[in-house]
Amino acid sequence: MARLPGVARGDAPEDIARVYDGATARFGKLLDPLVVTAHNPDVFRAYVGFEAAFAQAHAVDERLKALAALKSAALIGCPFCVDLGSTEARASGLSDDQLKALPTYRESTLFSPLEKAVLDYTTAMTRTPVVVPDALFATLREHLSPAAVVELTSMIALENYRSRFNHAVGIGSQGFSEGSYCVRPETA
Amino acid sequence: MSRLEPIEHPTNLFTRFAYWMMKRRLGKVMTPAKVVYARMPKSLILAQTEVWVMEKGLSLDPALVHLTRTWTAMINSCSFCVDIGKAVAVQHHMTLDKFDALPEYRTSPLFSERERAALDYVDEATRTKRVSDTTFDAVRRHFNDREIVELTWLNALENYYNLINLPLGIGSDGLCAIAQRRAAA
Repeated sequence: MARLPGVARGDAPEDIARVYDGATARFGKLLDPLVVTAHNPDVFRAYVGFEAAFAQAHAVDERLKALAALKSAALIGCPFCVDLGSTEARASGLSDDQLKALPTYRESTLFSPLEKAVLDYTTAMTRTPVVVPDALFATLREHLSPAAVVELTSMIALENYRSRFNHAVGIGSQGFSEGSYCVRPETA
Repeated sequence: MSRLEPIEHPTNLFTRFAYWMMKRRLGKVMTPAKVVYARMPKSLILAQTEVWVMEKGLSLDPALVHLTRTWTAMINSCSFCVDIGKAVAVQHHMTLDKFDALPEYRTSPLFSERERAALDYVDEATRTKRVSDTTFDAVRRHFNDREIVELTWLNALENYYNLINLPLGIGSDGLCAIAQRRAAA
């Protein structure tokens, strides 16, 4: 369990309890990041709004976004995020072989030039300090419109938000990938 | 100069209203609005909500909120974010001494043990992304569960903003200087 206890359904405000139910229906279990965030109901509502808006952004292919999110979760080393991220990545159409090749994507033949550029971008954004070379940005722009670059950048930033939040408060894997392949954290 | 062209004249009515509001509040339309929000108007509503939560919905005191956010932005070298953080501090009538002393927060007498615990926490969560048990235990000694969620949220959110501005090449808008001029007037 996490470093902080969660807020039980019975102790949560009505609107938050309804979000709990919706998440349980969608993911099959209640997500620990939600019950921990619920300690501050206003923060909870802002965060859920944040996720809802991203769920409606479609300027970038879902598969590309799932790939980027999973890579940054692995680089940050958040166990909850790689677990859920592996499942989401598979649902978006990525294969187990691609998930297995994620740590060595540069040498892999399983990723397209655009996918490799997106993974380079994700890696550059997730490392501290952030250094994105001009050539890499130019490569992205060859493939993506300004609106798509903004959405992709925001998506990678969102996964950094999730992974840094969840990892700091010690939220562990919830076993979403049980029985299938789960990407491992890439941190030392 | 940002890497994507700033949109000076948005057609979306809500975005135009937001530009007008920013001019009033900050003295100019900030570059992230022209580069990011104008292309993703929904994210503008989110940013407004987050500002509201930060100002009205937290139990942490405002000085600590702005100090921890600014320290995260300094670690990430996000000049836009450090500048706007200081501008907001000036608008809230905070002195900038502590902001300028942030790089020495571990030894500077300006900081309390409670502030140091919070800054150590966001420092690790940003720099190595892994918070040690020692650091977390120190945070727990000074903050309750709700306040820890707030600190963790502030850090995650600041990283979110930093990580959008940095790769898109969005630098300082000089908002702190505008806020100081307005405060002196």
